[in-house]
Amino acid sequence: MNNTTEIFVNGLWRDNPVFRQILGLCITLAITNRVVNGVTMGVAVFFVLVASSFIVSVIGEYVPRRVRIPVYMLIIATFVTLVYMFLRAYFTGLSQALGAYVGLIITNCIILGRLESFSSENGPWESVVDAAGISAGFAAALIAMSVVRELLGFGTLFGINVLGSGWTPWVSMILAPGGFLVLGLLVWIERSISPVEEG
Amino acid sequence: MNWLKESLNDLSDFTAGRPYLGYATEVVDTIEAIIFAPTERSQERPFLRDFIDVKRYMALVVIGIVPATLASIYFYGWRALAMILVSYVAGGIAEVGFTLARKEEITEGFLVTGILFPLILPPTTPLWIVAVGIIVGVILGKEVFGGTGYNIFNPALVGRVFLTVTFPVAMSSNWVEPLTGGWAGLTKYGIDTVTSATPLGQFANEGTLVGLKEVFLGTIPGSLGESSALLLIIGGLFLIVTKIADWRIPLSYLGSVMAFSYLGTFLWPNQVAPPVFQLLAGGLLFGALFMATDPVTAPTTKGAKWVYGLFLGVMTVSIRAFSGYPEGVMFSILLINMFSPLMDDMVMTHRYGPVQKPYK
Amino acid sequence: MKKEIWMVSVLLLVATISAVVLGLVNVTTKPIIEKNEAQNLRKAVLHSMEITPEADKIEETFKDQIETREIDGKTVYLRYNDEGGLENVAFEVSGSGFQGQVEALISLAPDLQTIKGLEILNQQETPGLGARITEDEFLRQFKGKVLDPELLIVKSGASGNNEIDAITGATRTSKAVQKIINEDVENVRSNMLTEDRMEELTHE
Repeated sequence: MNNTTEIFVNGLWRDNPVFRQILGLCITLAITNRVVNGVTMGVAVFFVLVASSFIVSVIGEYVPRRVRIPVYMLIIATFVTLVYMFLRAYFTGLSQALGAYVGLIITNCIILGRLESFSSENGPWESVVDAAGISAGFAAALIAMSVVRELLGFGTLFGINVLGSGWTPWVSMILAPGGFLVLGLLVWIERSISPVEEG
Repeated sequence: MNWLKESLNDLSDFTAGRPYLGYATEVVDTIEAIIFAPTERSQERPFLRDFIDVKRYMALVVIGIVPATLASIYFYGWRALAMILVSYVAGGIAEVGFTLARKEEITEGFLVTGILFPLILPPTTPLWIVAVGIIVGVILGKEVFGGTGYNIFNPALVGRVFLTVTFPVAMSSNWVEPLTGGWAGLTKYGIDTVTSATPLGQFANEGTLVGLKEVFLGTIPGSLGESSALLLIIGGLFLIVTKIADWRIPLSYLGSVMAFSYLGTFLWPNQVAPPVFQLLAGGLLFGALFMATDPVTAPTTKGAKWVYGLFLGVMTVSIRAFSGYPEGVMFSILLINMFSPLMDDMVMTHRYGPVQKPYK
Repeated sequence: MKKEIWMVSVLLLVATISAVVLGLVNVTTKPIIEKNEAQNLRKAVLHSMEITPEADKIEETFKDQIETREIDGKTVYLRYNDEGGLENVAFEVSGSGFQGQVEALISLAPDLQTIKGLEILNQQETPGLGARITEDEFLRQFKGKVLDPELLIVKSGASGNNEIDAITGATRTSKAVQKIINEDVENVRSNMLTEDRMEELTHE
């Protein structure tokens, strides 16, 4: 495994932001009751994280340490606002479904954490690969959760009925308790597959 | 019966340590343990205190719930028995699966959960929902905490609360009038759905009170096993007399409900139902006698038991009066379960001074 | 000192670039967003009056058929028939639902009592339960119901001509819709579209 693949796989699986680092839960719990929401949010975070990682890795060394956090926040906020306006203009229905959570990407610790711990110390190529891996991992987690929740909660996937019309919706899966339960169960499964190394 | 015991022993010896059959040893041992008293003696402290081991304990609770179970078949037909069987089979599979995966012995704790759970469901609950509920109850209510004896929440109630939020329509608006007179449900499988409201539901929505006699005998809509106050009291007294259930918890819980509903009827007469009605209607007696007394999730010190019951009562009366749900026993017990260890800890600290913790 | 100046200028620079980029994108997306919103409202107004134009003719049909009026700060949509008689009056009603704000558009006959149609514009109710107020099955019921004395949501088996079946499992949201309609229509009736005002509007 060369360096690039390793960085990517790290983000996707070994350091998965949701299942491993337990970050970005506000968004994860709130919007994953439909697969469409999960995919949209995954794409949005992918764009914001890759773009801001790239910029930070390029300008990182010129930014004085004491103002680096405000600068990062400005960069993130700019991209998030771009995504927000884009969604509202071209995907009205989706932006209504995601509500305030697109705006909340700004405060998502996954993004600031990556900029601070990786992009500011690595070159543009590595940073972009890392950002792509992490956001792919985030998107994968969102999609895994939303598949379970939409399937049980509505009997549908992407809004298409797959479990037949006789399916009794599991209402709790659509609501907050379902988010917590499914997240807990998926973290359990993930850690049973590859146990956390102690120490 | 000796031949049975011997052949079980042989079977156990035969399977032990053999490839592919190793798992069967635990199953065989469990069957033996359910039928016969344990033969092994403990090798370290605590030594045998009395005859009551977990198995005997659970068996007596099941005997205590028999009157209410029989009544549920009489009131709602043989479908009640089908619900109990589904609960035992589905929950049993979940339980056995986990113990095998953990390579532990199967414990008898499930025998109680498996029968209490269907008795707190509406009589019309579809059988597959019963299965989902008991599996969730066993896994999320017990196994994730480490199995019997380690759970914080009552597993049957965890299953019930999951169903309540997951299938709100099936769980809270499909009540039926019980059958009475003659053979009633004994000649029927189930009841054709004619929905009606439980006494607590009627009070919450329309402000009307059902007669106390009906509520006492159980000829009112409600969950399978909770309707007949009379039979629950009989079963509960049996548990208290055999010292399976500690009398302090039911006494303090029921007393607290009486006291606070008496107080409440003065302050908010439209929301709080009168004390005796509150005592007999809904799941209060069932919860107080069979759920709140669960030795795993209730506090163990005497002082804490009184406090536990007191808080349960306050919660139950408040939820019944001021929440969107007409019944609050389930939520109260689950909520107060969380505080049992804390209550025990406070009582011990008060009595014996700060306890030296093995951890820092 | 030099360090501080450098810090401030970096921040300023980043902020400026960010502002310019956002400003540019805003200029391009804002008209589209506004157009979307206006289009949704027009569609709702037309739909509540049982007009279903083709997708590309919404704006045209709306201009053609609907008259928009500001009456004491309330936007009211009026539709006259070919003879010039008032057919429909529509306006927005809103209030708190079970989870958040519910905004709806109600269309009434000129007596301001008979409901012609109801459309939900915005809501944050529970998906699968309360959010079903946006479904046709629920909204269809309102057509032809009379606010006399007021709308009543019942658990099931609505019979009277002022009764609506609640959504199973979402009684709270259904009740909220009832409250919003009753209160807001009453408010409009007594403060904005008073009998005198209606007289004027009818004979135009």
